[in-house]
Amino acid sequence: MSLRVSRRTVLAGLAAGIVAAAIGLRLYWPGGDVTREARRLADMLRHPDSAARLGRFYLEVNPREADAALLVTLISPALPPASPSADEALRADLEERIRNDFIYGNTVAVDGWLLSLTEARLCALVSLLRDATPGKDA
Amino acid sequence: MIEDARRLPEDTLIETDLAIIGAGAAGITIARELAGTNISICLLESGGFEFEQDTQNLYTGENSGRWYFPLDKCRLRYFGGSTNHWGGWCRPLTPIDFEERDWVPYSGWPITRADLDPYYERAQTVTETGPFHYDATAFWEKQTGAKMLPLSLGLITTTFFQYSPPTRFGTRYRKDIEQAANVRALLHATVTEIETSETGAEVTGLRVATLEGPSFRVRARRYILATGAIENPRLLLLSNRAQPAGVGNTHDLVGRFFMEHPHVPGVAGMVTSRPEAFNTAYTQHLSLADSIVHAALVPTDALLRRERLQQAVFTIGVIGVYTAENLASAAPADQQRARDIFNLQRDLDPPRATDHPPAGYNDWPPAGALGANCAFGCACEQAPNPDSRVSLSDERDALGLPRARLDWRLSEADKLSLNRIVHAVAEEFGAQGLGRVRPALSDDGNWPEETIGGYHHMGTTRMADSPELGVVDANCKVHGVANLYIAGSSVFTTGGASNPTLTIVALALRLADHVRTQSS
Repeated sequence: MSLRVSRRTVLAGLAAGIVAAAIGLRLYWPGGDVTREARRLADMLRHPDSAARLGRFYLEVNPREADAALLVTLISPALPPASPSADEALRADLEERIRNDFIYGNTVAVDGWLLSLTEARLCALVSLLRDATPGKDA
Repeated sequence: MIEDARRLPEDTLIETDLAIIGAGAAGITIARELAGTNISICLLESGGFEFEQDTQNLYTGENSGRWYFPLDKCRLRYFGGSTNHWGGWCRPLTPIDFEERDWVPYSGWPITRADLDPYYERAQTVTETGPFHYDATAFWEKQTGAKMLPLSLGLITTTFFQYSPPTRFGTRYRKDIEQAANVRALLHATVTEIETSETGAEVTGLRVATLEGPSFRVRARRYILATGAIENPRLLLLSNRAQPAGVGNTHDLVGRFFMEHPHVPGVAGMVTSRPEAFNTAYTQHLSLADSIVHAALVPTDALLRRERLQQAVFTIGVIGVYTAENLASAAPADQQRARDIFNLQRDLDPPRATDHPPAGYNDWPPAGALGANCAFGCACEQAPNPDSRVSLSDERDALGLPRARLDWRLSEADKLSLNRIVHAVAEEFGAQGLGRVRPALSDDGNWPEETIGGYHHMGTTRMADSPELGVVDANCKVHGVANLYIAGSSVFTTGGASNPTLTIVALALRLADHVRTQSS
C-alpha cells in the first residue's frame, strides 16, 4: 500500500499546526489580558474604518482567525509590556515583520491587494474590536 | 534619386548590385549606410510619400487566432513604413535576451548582445535618441538630482526607455536618399514575386508591379527583404513558382514563431504613501542630456533565472494624487478600497525623512501630495511558438496575391510568467514600504480578453545557426539561398520586452556592414 500525500495537504496540515500552536500559546500567555493587548495592536492603525473594511475581507476568507486572542498571538507572540518607548519598539517590530512577510512570501490577497499577513491580521483585529463606521476615516 | 515606378515603361529590366525591398526603418537605414559607396542600390517601396488608401489596402489580411488588430491598421505602407506611426520608444534587448534559456523553448540567438552593442550605439544616432544610457541608473540620478527607487530584494530593478522624437524615417531621411547617386528609389513599386533558380538556391530576380500601371523586373547580385514580420513571410511563401513551399522554406519555418509583446491594460494597480520616493522619471518623460527618458521597472536577471521566467517591463501611470483636501471628501465606491489601502500604508509605513529630495525642475510630487493612486502599464515576452504564425489566406489582394493570415497564439506559460513578475513587483514594493500593489491577473494560464499587442511583429523569419531552427543565419542571410538577406524584426529569435525599432535599426546597420564587406 502506498501513502500519497499532496503538497497542498502537507501545507494545509502545517498551517493548521501553526494555528493550533498559536492557540496553545494564547492559553499560556503570561500577561493574560488579551483584550488590552489586542487594543494596543489595533491602536497602531490610525484609520480604523479603512482597516476594519480590509479586515472583514480577510476574515471572510480566513474565518478560523476570527478570534482576537488568536490574532494577537499570530501577529506578535512576544508583545513587550506597554510603555511609550515600547510602543515605538512595537511599531518598528511590526514594520520589520511586514517587510519580512513580503520578503519571504507571507502575503495574502485582500480584495485583490497583496498585503503582508501581519498587516492583514492587524486589519482583521481592528474589524473584530471595532464596530466600523464606513466613511469616517479621512 | 527617387522616382515614381508608375512612369517606367512596361517590362523594364532594372539591373543593380543590391535590391532592397521595403523603405521602412530597416530598408532606409541600409540604403543610407551604403549611400556613397560603389554599390548600386535599387530601393523598392510599395507606397508613395504619403498615405494612400489603395496601397494600404494591400496590407488587409485575415486574423484566425486570438484577437489582433486588423492587419491594415497595425502597420503603414508608404515611404518610411511603420515609422510613420511609431511612438518613438527605444530600449535595446538585454544580454539575457540573446541567451539560450532552457526554460524558454526555441530561445538563443546565434549572436550576443555584445555583437550588437556597437550597432546599438550607432542606432542611437539614426533614431535621434541621444546618448546610450539605458541602464545607467547613476547617470540619470545625477541628471534628475534624485534617486531612483530603492529596490534591494533582487527581484525588480529600474531600467530606462529613451525616446526618439520619433524619427519619421521617410521624412527625415528622404533627402539623403534623393541625393545618393548610387541609390535609385522607386515608389509605388510592389514586389509580387521573388524569383529563384529551379533549386531555390539563388534569387534570380524580382517581379514588380504598380497598381494600375506598368510591371517590371529587377535583377540584382544581392537582395534584402525588409517589409516587416508579416509581409516578409508572406512574400517568401507566395513566391512558390520554383519551390512549392516558397523561398527559404525548406524546413517549413517561414511564417512560424510570430511573436508580439502582449500588453495587458491595467495589469496591476498601486497606491503609495511615499510619492517623494518616485523620481519624476517614473511618472513623466523628461528631456535631459540631449535625450528624452522615462524610467521603468523590469525583473532582474537573477529572478528570471531562478524562477525560470520571461521578460516583462512595467511603466507607472498616475491616476490620482491624495491630498488632505480630497481625502476629506467621500471617495467614490470604486476608489474606496484603494483609499483604504493608502490609509493602511501610511499607518504602517509612516512617512520617513524624505530620502529623495524632489529635483526642483519637475512637478512631481505635486505640492500637498500625501500619496498617489497609480496603475502599471506592461509589455512582456512571449516565448517563441511554432504554432503562432503567418500563412497565406485564400483571399487575394488587388494585385492577385494571396493575403496574409495571422494566427497569433499565446501560451499559459507566457501568462504565468507575467503574473509571477507582477507579484514580484508587489513584494518588492511592499518590502520597501513603497506601496501596495493589486495584481489584476488571474492565477491561471488564461490571458485576459483585453490583451493586445504593441504593433510589434517579430520572429517569422527567425535567426538561428541551424537551418532546421531558423530561416536566416547570424548574418541575416536566408539559409540555403545564396544572395537573399532579411532585415527587420522578423529575424528576431526571441523578442524580450524591449520595443523593437532600435534593434531593427541596429541589425540593419550590421547587415549593411556585412553587405559592404561582401561587396568589396
